[in-house]
Amino acid sequence: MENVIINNLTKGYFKKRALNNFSYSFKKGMVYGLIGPNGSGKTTLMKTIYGLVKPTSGKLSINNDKISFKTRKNIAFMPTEDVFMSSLTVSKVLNFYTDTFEDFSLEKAHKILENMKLPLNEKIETFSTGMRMRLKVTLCLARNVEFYMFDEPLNGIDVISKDLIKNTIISMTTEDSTILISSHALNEMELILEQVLFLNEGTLIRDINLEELRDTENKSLESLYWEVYNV
Amino acid sequence: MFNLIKFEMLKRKKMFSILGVLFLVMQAFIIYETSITSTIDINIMGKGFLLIFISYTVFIFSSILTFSKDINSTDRSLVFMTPYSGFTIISSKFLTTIILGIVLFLLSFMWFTANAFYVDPQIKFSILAYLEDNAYFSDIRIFILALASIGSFFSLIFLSIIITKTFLSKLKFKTLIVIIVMSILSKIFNLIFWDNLNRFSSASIGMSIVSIVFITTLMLWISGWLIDNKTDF
Repeated sequence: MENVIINNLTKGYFKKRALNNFSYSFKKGMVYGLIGPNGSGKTTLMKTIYGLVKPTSGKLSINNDKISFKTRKNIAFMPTEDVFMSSLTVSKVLNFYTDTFEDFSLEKAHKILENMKLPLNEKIETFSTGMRMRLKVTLCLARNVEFYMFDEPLNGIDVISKDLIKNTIISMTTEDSTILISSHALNEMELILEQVLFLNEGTLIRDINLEELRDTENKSLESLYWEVYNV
Repeated sequence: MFNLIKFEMLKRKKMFSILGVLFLVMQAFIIYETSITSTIDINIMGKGFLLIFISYTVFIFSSILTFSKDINSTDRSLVFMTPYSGFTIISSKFLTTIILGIVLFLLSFMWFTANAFYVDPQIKFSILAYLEDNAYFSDIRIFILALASIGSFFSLIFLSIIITKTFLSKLKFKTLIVIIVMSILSKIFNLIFWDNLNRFSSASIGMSIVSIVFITTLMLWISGWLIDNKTDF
């Protein structure tokens, strides 16, 4: 069953098109990967689904509700940037999330924080890049929603942090939720992803089921990337 | 909206701490000055008044700067990721500014009055006479009118910043553009509303307050609509 449906989505910034007639339907219980070179429209697509970027044309909906600030109740999004004030402690950020998102589970957040080895009463400004990334993933996964989006969750972090994030995302996957992850770390993502969307200049150029690919062609995601982008 | 206001207040903690330290230093200076001289030094209160003026200026600039940073920096956009409407978000930022402005006014007023008693106890009698005279009643109305005017000034700046972010974000010299947008908006609002509302509002202060509150709410609503439908974060 589909939850997020996108029809002919176009986003233009002056003369440039970040997304060009993008259409897709995301199914429940699937883990999607959004792959493409820098500037291919991955972040714009995620931000448009979350309602942060407004489309130039096209239609987007989640469970037949048009995307707006209201649909953020059904979608959890982890952006690349650190959106929280770094002078706050982790517990203050958790309090803000508890007050703001009805679906945010403090109990679940504490559990994930423990797995992620993050301190509760330290200020975020003292955190390393990896710790900040782990916190962002925690805040996103501690919500109980249908659609999760992670924008570059493995970007610029150490191997241990990568492993922690990857394992936590895998352990939190349920049949009722859809996960969309954008990443350049192809080797690490290969085991998590089920379906991969290849973007180029805002256009969907390939949509591949990884399991089928492994069975029929015995190719890795990285070799497929080289093939798709003809590098 | 209460949690958004609470969150906005956390952002201003640093500015209020700095102002608090400034007032404490000034208080120590007043105590020191009055303890070494036997005659009343009226200039001390003049310096106190200057400090209040400086703190208001710092408050106004810091509020505008905080808002501008929140709108333009992606690393401060947490509130824009919440499931609240643009109008709720913008109103929370606006109300925080107004509440903190009132708190700053009341605290500095109490501080100034207490010191005025301390420096010259005779002032107490003139204040009591003023309170008995009931003249403060019209002064309260003037205070509310001033507050509403300051509120409309802030909402005009907020709207100008959002218009600049929404439609003119690629241009350079953003501060200059915000000022130009603000001047144009101010002209437009004057043309549409002011001349007509002046006819009603000249009748009473109450009518003036209602007119200003109406225009302020309209500006906040337009800002909220832009955030929900046109602005990219």
